[in-house]
Amino acid sequence: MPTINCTEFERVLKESVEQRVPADSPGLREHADRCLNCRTQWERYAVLERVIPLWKSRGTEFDLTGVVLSRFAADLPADAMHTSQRPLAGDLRAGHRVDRESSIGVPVRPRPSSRKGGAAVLAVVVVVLFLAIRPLFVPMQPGVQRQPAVAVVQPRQLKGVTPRVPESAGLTELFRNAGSAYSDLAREAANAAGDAVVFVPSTVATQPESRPASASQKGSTWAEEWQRPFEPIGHDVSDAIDFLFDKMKTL
Amino acid sequence: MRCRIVWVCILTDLFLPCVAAAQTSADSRPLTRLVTADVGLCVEVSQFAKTWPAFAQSDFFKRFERLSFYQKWKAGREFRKLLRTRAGIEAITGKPFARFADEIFGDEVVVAIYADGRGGAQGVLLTRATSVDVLNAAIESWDRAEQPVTSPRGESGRRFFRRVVGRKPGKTETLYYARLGRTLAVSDHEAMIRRVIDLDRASSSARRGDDSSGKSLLESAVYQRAAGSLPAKTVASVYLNPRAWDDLFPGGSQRPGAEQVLAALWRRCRSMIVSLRLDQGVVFDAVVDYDGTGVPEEWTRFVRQSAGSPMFFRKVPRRALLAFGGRFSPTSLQKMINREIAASPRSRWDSIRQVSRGLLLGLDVVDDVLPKLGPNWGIYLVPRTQGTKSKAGTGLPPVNGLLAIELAADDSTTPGRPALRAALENGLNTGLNILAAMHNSQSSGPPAIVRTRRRKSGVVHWIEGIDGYLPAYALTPTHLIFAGSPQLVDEFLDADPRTAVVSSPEYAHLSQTCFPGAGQLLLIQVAALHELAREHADFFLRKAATSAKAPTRRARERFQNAREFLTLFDVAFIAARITDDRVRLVIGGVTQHEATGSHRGTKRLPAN
Repeated sequence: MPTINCTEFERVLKESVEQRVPADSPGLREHADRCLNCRTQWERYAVLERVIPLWKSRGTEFDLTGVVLSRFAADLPADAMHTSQRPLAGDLRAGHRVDRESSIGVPVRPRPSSRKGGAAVLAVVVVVLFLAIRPLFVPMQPGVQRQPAVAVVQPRQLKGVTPRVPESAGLTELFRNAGSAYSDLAREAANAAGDAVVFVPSTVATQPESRPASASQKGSTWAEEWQRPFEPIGHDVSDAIDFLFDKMKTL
Repeated sequence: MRCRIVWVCILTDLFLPCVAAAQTSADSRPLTRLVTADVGLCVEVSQFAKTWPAFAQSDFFKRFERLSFYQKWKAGREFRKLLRTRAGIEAITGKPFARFADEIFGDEVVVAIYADGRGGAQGVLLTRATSVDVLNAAIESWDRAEQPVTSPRGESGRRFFRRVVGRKPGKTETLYYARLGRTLAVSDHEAMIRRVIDLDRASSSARRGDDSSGKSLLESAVYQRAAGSLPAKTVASVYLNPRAWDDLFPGGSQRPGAEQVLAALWRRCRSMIVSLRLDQGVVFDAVVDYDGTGVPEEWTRFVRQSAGSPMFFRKVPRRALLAFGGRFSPTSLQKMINREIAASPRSRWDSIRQVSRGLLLGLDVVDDVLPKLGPNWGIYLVPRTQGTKSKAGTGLPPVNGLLAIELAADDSTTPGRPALRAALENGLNTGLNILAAMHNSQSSGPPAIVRTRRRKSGVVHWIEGIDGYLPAYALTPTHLIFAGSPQLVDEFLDADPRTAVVSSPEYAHLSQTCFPGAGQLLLIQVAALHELAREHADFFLRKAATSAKAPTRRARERFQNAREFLTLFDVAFIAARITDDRVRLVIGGVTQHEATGSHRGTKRLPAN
């Protein structure tokens, strides 16, 4: 009798990633042995797990400079990227990606080591000074989302760099927020509708029982490919709804 | 000189309105004229500015706003994000958000998605603003907000723009857009915009009489047929052209059987279209047009037999919580079962059929009985009127049900063959007695006994003494009936169409506006179901805890959510109508307030 299903497996794994604790239990191992999809996720997690100690040991000093400098790199004109600043900009972007992607479990790239240049130190000093004096001049309004500090610091001091209008990044963010808000409402509505299964007789209601070998394990036909995303529906409607919305987010 | 000026003014006054009218007229043609017929998927939203305010004032929307998950969402972080988005857009455009949305998207919006033939897709967004000035102002605001690098493209008369904006470090986003009067076309693929411009020119040429049209979606006969099938109050629709996605459904004799069947069905599809109506609640219409030539004979027979309204609803009481009435083709079903039997291990089916022949006086259940059933059949559930406590103390379901199948009137037999009704009577009565005997063999209390009551219209049999349950059946000249109690059988036999659900004004209204001519219909009286859930909360809570295998707190939460969700609608339905070349499926939830203006305040179909 299997102890956990795919949804539960995924939940435990996610929790482990979020809490940065090792995820290795007989239940997980047993399920991963049976399910190729979950095993793939587990292996991906294992890669991440190897990086976590390194991540923890490096502390947070990288985050601020990495993010700030990657913003500066973004604001540099395209031609500047192809000249003497290119290696620095490339590294900065790589560093930025590592920081973001590692938190969502995609393959981790090496962390950059060449960012401790003079420009970076100067930038950090500017940012820290700015952050220190900013509250004195800009009263924060309650309920209004504060722009990330790095977004406020436009490289106006740098000559030859075209300043960007803050709303540029904000517009994308605005639409993303609206999408996220409506997606959240749709998920809540779908879950509420899914709870209506309590009115379905027990023999019909879906049970989180074991399922036959995943189609992905044999998966060679397109019919199975189409069927695979709907497999969780066989377990629990609310789990299925969560699964579908999670999938939609990745599209 | 003065006279000449007067003439110029007069001519200008006469001429300009004509130009303006021509421009407006061309501009107000459906945006599908700017989509080619080979589109893969086309989403259309029409008259949003008019339908949304009405929907926001509807009874359904007010109920939705009262739901706790909506309230929670509105008090939460996500809604605050939405408010910030709104405030941000208002700051950028300098207009109230609702006005901006109405002006830019309130008339007509189309999203067309084309398959690129390599497993991917390319899309274009088309929107028609209320005026050219409004559109220009919106683009200016957009540019102010994003500071793009914009460069003109295309030759004179086909001018469009390339727009590049930095999004993330090292990443830019390139869009292409064209202004065609008050219509804006936006895409991330240049070819999409060129295609729109070409179609616009072709459309204008066609209006001038040049023969350069014939390739837009609007002019496609397949699309016209699909769009023509939609109800009048459609606010949004999604049209799918199966031919654009044929690569996703490969067939061929080397493929497994199921895939061959699916691929063949897909190729038979000419179009699919799904529409949304918001006038009575939420109603989806899905219409599939298919090639009806050369379809198997069983399908043709099924289509013929399933035509017409399900007669079963003439017998469904108005207090029914849920009712399904449909029509099927017994001979098609018989052939399908025989095919299945031929493909299965013979011993299993042989033994089943042999047992049934013994019970049915020698008649075969598939070959002799099945063809005599139908075409009408149905099932309904009503609140249980007798006690809902069993002797064992466990609660009985608070609902009771009935299943009825029409029996062919012809009961003539060939010499030496038993009559159908006599065979069924023997088989069912034997079965009921075996059931009672099996129960008695495991029970020490009062024995279960099979009772019989003769009525004018037939004989009713039931078992008495099975822990509160009273399984019953009846054979009449027209029906074979199974029910949860003999009282339900009596009610069905005595049913008068004038007091049945079919004669209620609400049903009449729905059948006219939502599912005219549907041969298969599932009707759920949601308001009555909600009332039942309130009265029998304990039973459903136990059920929720069992089915979800969840702690009591979670089960209670699920039950509350479900109960609350039921307040959204008064009636829900799923209806299907099948013809020789079209399948229509209608799924909806309506509130009686909107559904029948003359019956305001009615929360459900009235009970008898």
